[in-house]
Amino acid sequence: MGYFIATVDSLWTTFKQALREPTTVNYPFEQRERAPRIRASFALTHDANGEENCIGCKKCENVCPSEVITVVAGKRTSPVTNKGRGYADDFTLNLQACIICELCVQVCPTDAIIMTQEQEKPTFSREGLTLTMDKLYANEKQKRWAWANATVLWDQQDPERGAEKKEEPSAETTSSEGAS
Amino acid sequence: MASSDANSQLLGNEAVVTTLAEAEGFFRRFLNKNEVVQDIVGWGRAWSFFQYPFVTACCGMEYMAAAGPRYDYSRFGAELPRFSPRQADLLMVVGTITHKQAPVLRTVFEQMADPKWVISFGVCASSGGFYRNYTTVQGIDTIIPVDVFIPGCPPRPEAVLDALMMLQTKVRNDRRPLLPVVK
Repeated sequence: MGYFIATVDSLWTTFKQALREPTTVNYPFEQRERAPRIRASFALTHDANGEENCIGCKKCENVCPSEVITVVAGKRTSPVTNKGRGYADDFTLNLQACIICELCVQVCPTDAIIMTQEQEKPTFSREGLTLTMDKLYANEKQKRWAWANATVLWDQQDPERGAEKKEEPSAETTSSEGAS
Repeated sequence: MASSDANSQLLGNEAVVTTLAEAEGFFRRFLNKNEVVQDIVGWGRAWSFFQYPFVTACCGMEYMAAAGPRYDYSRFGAELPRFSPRQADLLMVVGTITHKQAPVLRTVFEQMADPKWVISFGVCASSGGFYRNYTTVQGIDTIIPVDVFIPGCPPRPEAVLDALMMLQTKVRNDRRPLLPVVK
């Protein structure tokens, strides 16, 4: 009798699952809901005056673990402020080896490079995976931005970063107190 | 003319063989050049991939997600992974390929029957990723021809489906002789 009940029970489970609504998301026509903090691709930003944020400091190039970022730095006169400042003459991000670790976003001093929520499409050639400067600036307008930039990330990791310089002597006294 | 007729009468068997070979050649050329036939065959190939997942690393999780019910690449006809390269026509290289593994991958690729296609899944297969060292193959396109490269570490299942659709368009527009032409 127990076998019979177990058989009927399992068949009933199968029957229920067969009549359930399928969970498949019909991908090319509808998108599955994504996590709010998803990050996938990159973009370079402009500031409020319409000027490029990137100053060509090469911090992202130095921190990148896969060494996929190439920045050619240059100096020009800004058309907005009429002062000399650094620019990135060329900025290439090679998605062939990018591991999407967001370190370049974290180190950026001017919030120039940010991440976007939509992934780049696959390509037929390896060279097609390279994000040139034009593509990065086009991504700024075409794709939804991810939640973070350098300022947001630093504020989360170290909220008192700005106050640190003023309190340097007090930090020394606290350390000496701790030592003694 | 008269002499050739006489010859064909004398060597009747040979004349029949010649016409059969001609008919066969005509048939082969018709199959290879007819756009309708090529379209039908391309449609069939594009919607019935039998992939061989060469899973070596963590990208395999995303491969499983793409195969699972939420994304379900069987909607594109690529339902059954074959775990023998001789039964597969789509090689998915999923993960890091070391130099020790490179000859294995090459052998697996050569064991597959034509026509065959290759998807490079994730950055480690595409370019070695951030393993820029002496153990890792810097991109599998240095050892086998690759059709589609998927970026991402690991790529999202949506990107896998994108790549599958791109490969479908490529296969559908592929024009290759269906039968070898005998002269």
